[in-house]
Amino acid sequence: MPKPNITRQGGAVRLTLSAKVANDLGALQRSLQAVAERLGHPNCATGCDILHLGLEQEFAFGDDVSLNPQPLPPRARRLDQARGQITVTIPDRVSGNIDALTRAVGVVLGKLGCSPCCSGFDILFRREINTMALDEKGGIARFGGMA
Amino acid sequence: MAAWPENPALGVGATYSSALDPLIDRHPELFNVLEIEPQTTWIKTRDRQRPFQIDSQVLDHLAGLPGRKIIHSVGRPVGGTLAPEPAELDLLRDIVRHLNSPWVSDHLSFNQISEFATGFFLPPRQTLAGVETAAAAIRRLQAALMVPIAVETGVSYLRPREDELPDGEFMARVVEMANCGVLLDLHNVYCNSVNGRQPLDEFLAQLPLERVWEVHLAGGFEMDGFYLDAHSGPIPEPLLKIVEEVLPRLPNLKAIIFEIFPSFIPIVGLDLVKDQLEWLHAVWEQRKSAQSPRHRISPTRSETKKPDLVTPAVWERALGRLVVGLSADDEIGRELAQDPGVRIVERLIHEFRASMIVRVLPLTSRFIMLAMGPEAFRTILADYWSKVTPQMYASSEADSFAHYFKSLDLKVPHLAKILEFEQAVTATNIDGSPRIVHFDFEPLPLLRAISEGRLPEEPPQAGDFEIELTPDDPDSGVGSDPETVRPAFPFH
Repeated sequence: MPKPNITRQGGAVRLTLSAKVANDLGALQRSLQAVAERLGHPNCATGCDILHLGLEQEFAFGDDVSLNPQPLPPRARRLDQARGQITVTIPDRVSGNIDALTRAVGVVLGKLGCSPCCSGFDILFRREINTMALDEKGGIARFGGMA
Repeated sequence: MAAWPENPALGVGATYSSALDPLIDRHPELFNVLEIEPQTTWIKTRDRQRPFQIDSQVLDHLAGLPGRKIIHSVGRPVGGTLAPEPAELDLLRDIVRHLNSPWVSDHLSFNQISEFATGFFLPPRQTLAGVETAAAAIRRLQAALMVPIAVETGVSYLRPREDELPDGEFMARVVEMANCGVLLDLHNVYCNSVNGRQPLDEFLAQLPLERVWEVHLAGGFEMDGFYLDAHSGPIPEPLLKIVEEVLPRLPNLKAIIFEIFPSFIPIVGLDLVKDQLEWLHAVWEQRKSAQSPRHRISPTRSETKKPDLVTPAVWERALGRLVVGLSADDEIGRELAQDPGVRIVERLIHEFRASMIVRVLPLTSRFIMLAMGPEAFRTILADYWSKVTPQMYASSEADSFAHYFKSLDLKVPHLAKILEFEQAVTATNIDGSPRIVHFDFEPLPLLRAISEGRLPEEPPQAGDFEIELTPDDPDSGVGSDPETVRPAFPFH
C-alpha cells in the first residue's frame, strides 16, 4: 500500500515514495495531489506547505483534519529517527485511489520489458503528444525553454 | 502427424496486460485462458550471471489470474539464424513450468542480427534454407522448454518475391519439418492478404490445418497505404465471416485469443474488449458443434526457381540494417530498399521506440515537450534514432536515450534533474535498492505539474530537498496510526 512520507532529514526535506508509484504518472499525480491536499493547500501547485514542517514534533494526518494539536500517544521510535524529523503519513482512505492504480504489480508490469507481440503501431507516443498539444492550447505558462 | 492430442481444450481468452485487470475482475468467466507474453514482464539487468529477471510478485500475480495460462514468447522468435541466450531459455522454462503452460507459442520471424536488435518482428527468408533454419530453431526451443511448440503465422509488409516460397507453403514446410503446432493468427494472414501478399484462402489451403492448436484475432488500421496488424480494436468486419468459416475446419483447435495492445485500451475501452470476447465465446461454442472438418489441400510444394544465393543470414542482415535506417551495402539490400514495406516498418519501429521512452521516462518526455515543444522532441528523437540502434527491452531503450540526451547538454532548467530522478526510479524498480535523489529546488510542484501534463505556474522554489525511492512501499513505521491521532494537525 504505497504511502508517500515526508520527513525532515537534517536540513533537507525528504519525500519517501515507492519507485512503483513514481513510475506511473497517474499514481504519482494522485500521490502528490494527496500530499498537497493533506498539507492544507489543495489548489496550491507550489506545495509550499512542505516547507512549513518546522515544528519539532511528529504528526500524522487523519481523515478528519482538525486544528486541535494535542499530545500524541506513546510509541516506539526508530533508531534513525532523530529529533526534529517530521513524518507525514497519508491515511488509507486518502490513498485508496492510489492503491487502485498501484494494485499488485500493475504499475510496473509490462513497462520495462519487451514490447508485447505486435507488428503494428504503439500509439502511446502519439497520445502523449496529443496531451501536450491540448495543454498548450490551454495556454500553459512557460518558464523553461532553451537558454 | 500426431497433433499433440494431449493438449487440453482451453477455450477463449485474451493476451494479458494489466490494463485488462478491471474487466478480468468483473467478468472472469470471459477468460477461460490468458495468454502471457513473459518477456514483457522481464527486467534486463546488468548482472551477467542473471541478465534477465522476473519479479516474484509479478509471477505470483500472473499465476493468480483466472483461467489457464499459455505462454506466448515475444523475445527471440524462431524464424532467424541467431539462437537465444541460455539465460533467456532458462527463465522462459521456469515460467512455463510455474504457470503450467500446456504449450508455448513463438513467431516465425526474426528480431535480431549479430550487430543489433531490430526492434520489430521481421519476415524470414522464405526459401528451403529458411525452412531448415526455422525448423532447427523450433527444435532447439522445444528441447529447451520440454513442452510442445506452436509457431505463429507472421505479418510481412514486404512485397511478395519471386525467389521465395508462398507464405502458406513456407509455413507448412516449417511446421512439418519441425513437427510442431500452428498458431494461426488470422489477423496477420488477413493483413498480408489485404496488403497484396498471398490471398487468405490460398494461404489456408496450403496450411496443414490439423496442426492448428490456437487462433489469434485482433484489429488494425490503415497507415501510409498499409493495413497494420496494430492490435488496436475490434476484429474487422470481413474477418468475422472468415472466422466463422475457418474455425470448424480446425479439428485440433484448443484456444482462441483476442489480442489488444495495452496502449489502445484507454482509447477503445474495455467494453469493446468485452464485446469481442463474448462474440468469440459464441463462435467457440458453435465451432464445437461442427462435425465435419474439411480435408486440407496439399501444399503445392513449388521449388524456388533460382539458386538461393541469398542465405537467411544475408537476408536478415540486409533487412535488419534497412529498417533501423542504415544504408544498404549489398545487392539484396539495395533491392529491398526499393520495397515500400521497408519504409513502413522503419516508421513503426520509430513509434515503438518513442513509446518505450515515453513509457519509462514519462516525466522527462513530458518536460521536454512542455518546455521545448513536441516538434523539438521529435527532432531529438529522429537524431537519436539515426545514431543509436534499437534495444529489445524498454528499460535499455530508455537508458540509451538518456545517455544520448545528456550528451546534447540542453540548457533547460531542471530537466537534467528530472531525468536523473526517473533514471533512479527505473534503477530501483530493476534492482530493488533504495535510492535518494537530491534537489536544490522544491521538486514536488514541478513533478506534480508535469505528471498533470502542464508546467507549474511559477519557477520551483530553491531549497534543500531529497526524494527517497523505495522498491516497494516506504517504511511507514514512523509516525502514528492516522486513525488514532485524528486531531493532530499542526498548521492552518
